[in-house]
Amino acid sequence: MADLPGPIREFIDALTDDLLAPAFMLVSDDGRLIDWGGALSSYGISGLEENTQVGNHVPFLVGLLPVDSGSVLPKVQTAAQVFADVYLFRRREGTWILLLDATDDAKKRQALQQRTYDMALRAAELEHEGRTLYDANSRLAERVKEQTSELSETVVRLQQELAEGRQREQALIESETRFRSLFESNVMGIVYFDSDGNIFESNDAFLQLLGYSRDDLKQGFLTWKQIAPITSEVGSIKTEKTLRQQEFTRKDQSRISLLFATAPQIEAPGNRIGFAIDFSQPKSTQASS
Amino acid sequence: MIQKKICMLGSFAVGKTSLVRRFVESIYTDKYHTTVGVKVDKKIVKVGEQETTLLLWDLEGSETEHDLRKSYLRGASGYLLVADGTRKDTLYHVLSLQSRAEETLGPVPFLLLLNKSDLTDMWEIDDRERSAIEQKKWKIIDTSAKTGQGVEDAFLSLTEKMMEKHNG
Repeated sequence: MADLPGPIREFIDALTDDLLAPAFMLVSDDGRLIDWGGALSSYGISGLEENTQVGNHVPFLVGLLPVDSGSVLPKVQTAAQVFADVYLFRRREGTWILLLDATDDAKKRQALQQRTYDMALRAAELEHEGRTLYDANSRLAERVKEQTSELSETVVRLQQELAEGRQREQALIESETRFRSLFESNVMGIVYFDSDGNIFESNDAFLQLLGYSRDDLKQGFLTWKQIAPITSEVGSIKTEKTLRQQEFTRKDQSRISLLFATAPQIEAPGNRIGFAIDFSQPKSTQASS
Repeated sequence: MIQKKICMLGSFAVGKTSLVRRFVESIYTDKYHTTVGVKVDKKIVKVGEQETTLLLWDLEGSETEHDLRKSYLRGASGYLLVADGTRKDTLYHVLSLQSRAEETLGPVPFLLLLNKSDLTDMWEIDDRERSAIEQKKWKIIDTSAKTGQGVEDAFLSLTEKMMEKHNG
C-alpha cells in the first residue's frame, strides 16, 4: 500500500463510499453468514441472518464458496439495472465478499456493446441476404443458360425447317413450271373440276377437243353434265386413276371418245385434274391445232 | 433443497437470455438486448420426486474461449452450449467454449442447444455438421425461445443428468 497521508486516505475512503457503494459479507467455509455490512440494500440484498446459508439470500454465491485464494466476478447484475463487481478473498476468519458498484460502467458498456452487436447482426443479415441473392442469381444464370441453349437449338431447327421449306417451295415451283409447260403445250387436253362437276379451268386443247371456246368456259357453259351426260356422276370418275376410254359430248352434240384419266389436285384435295387424249388423231395434229 | 448452478454459454445474440426468460418467466420478446457481465435467475424444478433449485447464470456472449471468465464458471454443475442455427459461426464458437468449460469444470453434464429453430428458412447448420457433433456423443436439442419448442426439455434433461451425477 502506498504511504499516503491521513487526509488523502480519508478522501479516498469518502470517494469510494460515494462512487462505489461498498458492501461486504463474511462467510464461513461451510457457507454460513458470519458478518455483513455496507450498502448491501443498494444491491437488492436484504434479510440476511447470522449463521444461515448465504446462498439462500444471495443466489450468485451458490457453488462459489469457499474460494481458494481470490476471485473476481465482474458486472454481476444483483438487481434490476444494478451491477456490482464482486471480489472474493479468503482470510483466516473466512471468505470475504466485497461488492463495488459497477452500474455506470456496465450501462456504458451495454450501450456500446448493443450498438456493436446490432451492427454485427445487421452485417450477418446482409451477408445472408447477399448469399441468398447470389444463389438466386446463380440459379437464374443457369436457367438463362439452359433457355439460351434451348433457344439456340430451336433457332437451328427453325433454320433447317426454313431451308427445307424453301427447298420444297423451289421443287414445287419447278414442278408447277414443268406442269404449266405441259398445260400450255396442248399436247393433251387438261381440265380442272370440282366434286360438283364444275369445270373451272382447262387448256385450249381440251376446249378444242370438245368444241368450246374460252368464253364458254368463263361463262360457265362448260360443265361435266354438258360434256359427259352418259357418265354424269362425277363421283364415278373421281377415283379413277387409270387411263381409260371415256365418251364425251361436244358442244355441237356430236360424240367424241377420248382416253381419259384423273388425279386429285395436290394443293386442293377436293378438286381433280383430268387428262384427255384424242387417240383417233396423231399427236402432232393436236399439238399443231 | 438441492441447489445447482447452470451456465449458459455461447456467442452474442444466440438467444441465451431469451431461453432463460422463456424457461423461468414464460416470456419472449423479439427485441435484442445484449447482456453485460452476468445475470443470475432461479427456478425450482422437480425431477422425479426430487425438487431442485436451478441457478441459471446467463453470461454475456463469448466469441472465444479466452473471452469466457473462469470465475463465472466456478461451481457450475452443468452448462448449456447455445448456438444460433441461422449463424453457422456460432456453432464453431461453442466448440471452443466447451473446451474451456471442460478445462475449468471437469466432465460435468452439458447439452448443445441449436436455437431459433422457428427460423427454418434461414437455417445454416446442415445434417453433415449435426452428425459430426453427434459423433462426439453430444446431445443436441433444437430449441426456439420464441415458440418454446425444446426449451423445457433442454433444462430438464440437463437437470436429470446433473441429478444422476449428484446421486452418484
